[in-house]
Amino acid sequence: MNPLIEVQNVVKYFPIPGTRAVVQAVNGVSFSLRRGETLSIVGESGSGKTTVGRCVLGLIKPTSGRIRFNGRDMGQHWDVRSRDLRGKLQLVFQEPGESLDPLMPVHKSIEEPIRATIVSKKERDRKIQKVTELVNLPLSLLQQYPAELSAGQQQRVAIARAIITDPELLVLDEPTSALSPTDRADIIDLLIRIQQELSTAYLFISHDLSTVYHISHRIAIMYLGKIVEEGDSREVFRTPHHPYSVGLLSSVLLPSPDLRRETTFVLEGETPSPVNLPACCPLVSRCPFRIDRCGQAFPEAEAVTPAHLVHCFRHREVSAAEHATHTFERFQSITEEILSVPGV
Amino acid sequence: MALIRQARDEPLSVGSKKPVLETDNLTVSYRPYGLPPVEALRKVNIKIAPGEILGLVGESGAGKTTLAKAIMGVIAKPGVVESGRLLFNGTNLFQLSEEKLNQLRGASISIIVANPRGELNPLLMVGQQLANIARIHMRVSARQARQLALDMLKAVKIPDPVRRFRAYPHELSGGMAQRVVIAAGLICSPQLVISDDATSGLDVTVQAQILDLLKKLARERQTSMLYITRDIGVAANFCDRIAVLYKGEIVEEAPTGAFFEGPSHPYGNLLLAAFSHNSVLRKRWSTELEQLQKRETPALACLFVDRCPLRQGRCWQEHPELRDLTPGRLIRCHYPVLRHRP
Repeated sequence: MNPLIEVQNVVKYFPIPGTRAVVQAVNGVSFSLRRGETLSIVGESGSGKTTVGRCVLGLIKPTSGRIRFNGRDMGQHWDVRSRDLRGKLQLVFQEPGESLDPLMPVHKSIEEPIRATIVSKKERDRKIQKVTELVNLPLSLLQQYPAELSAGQQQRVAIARAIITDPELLVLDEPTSALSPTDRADIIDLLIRIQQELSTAYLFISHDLSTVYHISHRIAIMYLGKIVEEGDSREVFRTPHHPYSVGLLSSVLLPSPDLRRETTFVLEGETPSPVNLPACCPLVSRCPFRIDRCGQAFPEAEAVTPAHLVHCFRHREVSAAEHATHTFERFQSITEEILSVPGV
Repeated sequence: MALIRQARDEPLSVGSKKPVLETDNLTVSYRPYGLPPVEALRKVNIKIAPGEILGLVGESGAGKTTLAKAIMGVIAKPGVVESGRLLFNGTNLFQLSEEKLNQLRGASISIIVANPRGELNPLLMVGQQLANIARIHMRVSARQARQLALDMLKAVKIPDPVRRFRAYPHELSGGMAQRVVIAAGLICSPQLVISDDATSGLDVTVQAQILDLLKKLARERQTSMLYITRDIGVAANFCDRIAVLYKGEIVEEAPTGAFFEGPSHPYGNLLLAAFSHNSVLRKRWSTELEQLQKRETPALACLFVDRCPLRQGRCWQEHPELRDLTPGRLIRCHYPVLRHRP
């Protein structure tokens, strides 16, 4: 089956006004996404994950590289505004309170994307009702304004508004980071259920790894505009091969005091500025595994297993030093044991 | 990261040492004009021992930040401290004059908040800001203050501290600015540091470094901390004791290890279930939203009754008091979850 989205070597530079320097936000990223699949792009602030999402949506034009949607090149003549692409790509933002129009009652916000495409008012109302039920919101809420809703309900409205056009791809840019833990878990469950019903592909952009673990089929770990590791979600979580992935995963704190991922090294310092990056491995300044070669070229992708790619010259040493651990799985089973109390 | 792994040292029992901070039935409410008052904190009793890190967890709106503000004495109108005492080393802070309070704040009690850029003066070099704090509170010469500021920048592991001393806040990255704010909070070696969500905006790898640093500094200087967070993962790895705040009430208090081996309050269990994303367990530990909206909660009911899966008739009529469950473990629930471990 053809992938829904194919991203090939996308580069996006933002010029800094008044200078010759550029911010190298995305620095040659390639991946593909199938229908009904969730690919999570994980990385810290400044890694370029949001920029990738925006390029895929066609909101900004990449400096170079190709993005194909359904096998067709999204270029000059066929972009996100084209009639046959309209509504196929949708976006959910991070802050639901800010992305909804405060002066519009909820039903109008949900209706807005289809007002131009569906002429019949009856048909539009039917669709509004359908998506509202799909996101588990009571219909009585439709007459209210965003300020009257809780953050969790607002995010449900934002999701309803996105899926009303039956999109084939939904880009979710940190959709849960502004929510409380219980709302976050609710929204993730909801997204998984919607995907099963509509087989929408998700590009899930997040830095919250415990959420990513639950929703993703595959993950791509980004650092300074490059994907350093990509593969089956469970496999990458279990046996990360890139030093940055290892550092990132071991920094995740789980609410089980004995479950800190044991690492043999620490990532020192912070992400350097993405202005005028050298053309080598971006982690070279922080990596305890660096060798001379790392400062000369960016490593080509190597396949650890057919579905697991890593860009590191020394990934074998990294993975040998890191015992494959199952922190997230162990956390699951520990919590399950704790929470399975008879009578509840 | 090494330090966090050693975090599981022996739990500190408050009974043995005199608490640095004690809130005694602290009640704070907001009385917006023309609207009924809202109780943000209801008879909160917490104690923090010297050198102890108390984690205060709860969802947004639980009253966590209000507690931080009450301790700093900066509750703004329409907020009012209704009743209760706030004891810092035995002195009731509510009875001190503003002048006396100003001597304490920043020197003996300090606060570190999120959004570091909003805290720093954009027009002053960061080193100078640190030095000013030292000069005001410690009555040292400009030169000594400068040295203290430099040492502090070094202590929070800012690379090239001599150069960064002269940096303005906008020249620093978020992580660096957060370190400066932490340095500002610690420069006078306070006895109590309040951290209000101070690390939540950071990237995880940086957060891990900063938590290690805070813990190391707290342990070296015997500083007590009130660590306020929404992230129970951080609380589990960083704090000695956990207090759970729900709608302005402490509903559970326990040593970190004991708490995460099995919360006693149904709400604690719900928090854990939410974090684990296990939908089956989460359903079991919460009740549906529709039911919640149908019913008006009587004034005397337990505050959690509308979401509690274990509620019984009594929970609707009688508000539970905070009581001892086992030594060192407090619970506000008529029917706490008891686990019998083999």
